Amino acid sequence: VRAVPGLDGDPGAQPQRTVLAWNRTVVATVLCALLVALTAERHEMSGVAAVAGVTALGILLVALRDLRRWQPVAAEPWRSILHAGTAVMVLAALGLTVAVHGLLS
Amino acid sequence: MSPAEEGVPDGAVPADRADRHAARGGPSRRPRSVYGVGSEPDPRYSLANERTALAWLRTALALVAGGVALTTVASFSEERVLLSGIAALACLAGGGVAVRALVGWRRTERAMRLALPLPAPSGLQLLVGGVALFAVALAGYVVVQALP
Repeated sequence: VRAVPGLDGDPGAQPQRTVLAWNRTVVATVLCALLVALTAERHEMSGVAAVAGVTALGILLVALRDLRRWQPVAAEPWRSILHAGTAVMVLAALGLTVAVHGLLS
Repeated sequence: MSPAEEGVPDGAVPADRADRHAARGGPSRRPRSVYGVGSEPDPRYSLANERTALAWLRTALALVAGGVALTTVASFSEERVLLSGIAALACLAGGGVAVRALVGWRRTERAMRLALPLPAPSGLQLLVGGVALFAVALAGYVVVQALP
């Protein structure tokens, strides 16, 4: 992250910490999506596995595009947060489907 | 530390920041319900709010991942229904925490712009209670399995 007007000499390295938090979140989301895909595949739920796989790829591409536009001042992070949050909700729904399938079978 | 304690610049937007703001369409920043009110807080507080939302999202992911991993354990186990039920609850809680992350970001950003006291971290007690119950239930399961 380059030096930022308005945050010069910020000893807390806030922009860097925020970008690193984004990196952790994107990595965690993609790994969780892959975990859901592999688990669904193991339970022979190919549809769920396919949606999880597409979610993994989709959130990776969307988040990388969002992060290219990320800026620390006069920021507009809502869309990026909404994208990441939507991906997590999709994964929660897929995980719930797998769990309910296990409950009923 | 609340923004009020740190001396937030009250409404004064530096020229370079105002230019960037204008370059991005000024008042068209979304969501309107957040950026349409109040004045620009210290960017450090907005960044902290963003990181908090991301931390909630990772908490949600941990719940979903734990639930999904538990479905695999359930398929090996004789307590399939119990474990699948806990897994379903964990995934549901994960979805709820993700919604809370989004709602919380908006509430906090709005409060900071209006220089209001920050909203209390809602749902934290419920989450901690739920995870503690989850842990105790699993520990109980492990003990029951280990008994001869």
